[in-house]
Amino acid sequence: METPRKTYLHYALAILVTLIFVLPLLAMLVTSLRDPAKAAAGFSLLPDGLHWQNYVEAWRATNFPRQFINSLIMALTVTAGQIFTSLLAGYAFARMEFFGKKVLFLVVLSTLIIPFQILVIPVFIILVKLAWINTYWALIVPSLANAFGIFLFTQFFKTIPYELEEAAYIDGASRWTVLWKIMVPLSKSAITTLFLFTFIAEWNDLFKPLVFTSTKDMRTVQLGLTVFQEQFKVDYALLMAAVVFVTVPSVLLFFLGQKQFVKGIATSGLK
Amino acid sequence: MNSRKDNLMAYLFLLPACLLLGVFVLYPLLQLLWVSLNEWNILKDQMTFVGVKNYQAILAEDGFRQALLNTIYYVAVTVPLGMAVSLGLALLLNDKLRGVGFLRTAVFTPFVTSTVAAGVIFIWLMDYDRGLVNAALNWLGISRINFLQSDQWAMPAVILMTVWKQAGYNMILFLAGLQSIPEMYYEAAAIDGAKRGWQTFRYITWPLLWPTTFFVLVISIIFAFRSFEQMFVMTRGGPVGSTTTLVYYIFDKAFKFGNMGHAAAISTLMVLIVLLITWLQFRGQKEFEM
Repeated sequence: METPRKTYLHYALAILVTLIFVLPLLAMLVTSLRDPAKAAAGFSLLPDGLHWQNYVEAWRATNFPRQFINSLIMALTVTAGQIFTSLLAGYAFARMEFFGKKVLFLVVLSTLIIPFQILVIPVFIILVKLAWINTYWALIVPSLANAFGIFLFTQFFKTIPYELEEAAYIDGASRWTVLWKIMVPLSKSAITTLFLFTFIAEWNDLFKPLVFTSTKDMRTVQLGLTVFQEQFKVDYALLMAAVVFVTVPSVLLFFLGQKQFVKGIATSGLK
Repeated sequence: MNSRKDNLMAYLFLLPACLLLGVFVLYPLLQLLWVSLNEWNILKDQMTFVGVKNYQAILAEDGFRQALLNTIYYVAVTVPLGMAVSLGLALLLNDKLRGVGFLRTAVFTPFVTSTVAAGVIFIWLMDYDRGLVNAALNWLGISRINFLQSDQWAMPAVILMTVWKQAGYNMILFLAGLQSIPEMYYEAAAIDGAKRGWQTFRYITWPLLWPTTFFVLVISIIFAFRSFEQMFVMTRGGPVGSTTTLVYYIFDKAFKFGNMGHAAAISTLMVLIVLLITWLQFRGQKEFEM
């Protein structure tokens, strides 16, 4: 056990270090509400009033509403699609016997090794041939399956006792029915984890929209934010306001599902 | 259960995922290799087989060599620095401190902000005469640094942002690793007269944490190796190419200059490096599983 004095020191140090870590985010919040002229003139951690107008101006400046809709469509569709394809594949790997199972599982897992950035050229060529560049298809379809989700559900389904399905099979239920009526309701925590990971990753992604879209009306929020930054350069009050509303969806989701999110990371580490 | 029916059902269940992974990962991998053996400028839309000419051209290019060195520099600094910071955070915010959950959440939050958002925040923090960092330097009596316009300081600035953003993620992994070390080792050490602190860290925590440390090392290298977005947002690969990493170089070659053959050749070389890292990972894992 630590002595009380040591504990106080520990607390003090922990709080100090945490403060240094969140300082950029606190400064961002403060500055997003500062007087734009003063914020452009110099740094300050102290507020000089509540200029909510910054948010309104930033929101209107470069068509963020449209970009929010684009990002939402992309992130929600990809997330739903990944959950669907991963549930099906995960169930097959966890519960069914079929020819080539081990090899196929290894092949699926091996796709995790190659980062998307390296494959962008051939994927871009495929999308050109499909005439999907600068459409929602390009932003959505290549991301609809991911080995991480398949692995997550395979491992999770294996922890569910088989007896729960057995009765349903005796009653003549099909694989499909058992998956949706029995396994899915038992897998809410794993589904939540995948939802959070995928949605946040898609919402935050810049690379895919940067390469696969070309016109203003197809821009997502992250791409929009880089354009906004180029235009507003040192207008830091407006810039920080834009950073805040682009960041809110992913941070909010993380706060709501924190437990599942952190557990997902921790288990990926321990395997 | 009827095994023949199971076969068919299983393949139907696997079809959507495997079809997508096949079309958007495995087939592209083969096509990448093919494109890398062809001269192809996307603007002219014609492909000519040239064998290994692209590779020869790439390896002779100063730009490629610079991008490779930049990537090595970036990985070699970001990975150990990021690991040290996150291990420190994990030790500081461990379970022995009650009510620490709130602090952990705070430290983790940068990880869920987007790279673009974090990049814009750091552009501002590193601003020459309006940023926090230069205000602090000025206050300390050190002359201001024009971080993002300096070919010496741009990379450290990008690294600082990355370490800040990633630390929370690695901290979670280290915390899970620390939790898996049984308390009895520390109790036994205490009975033997070891003081909690450097001694127990050196002889108990560090060796028993090694599997976690190794895992964090591997994914940190993989994450750092594929970095692109922080450079795109903060520096556009500059000044004078000082933050152009390999992925950035591929992006420029392919989408700025349309030289798909060269870009594919660099990508293929990166695939080889990734495979090498993965092979080393498997070997390393075997070692501590024995």
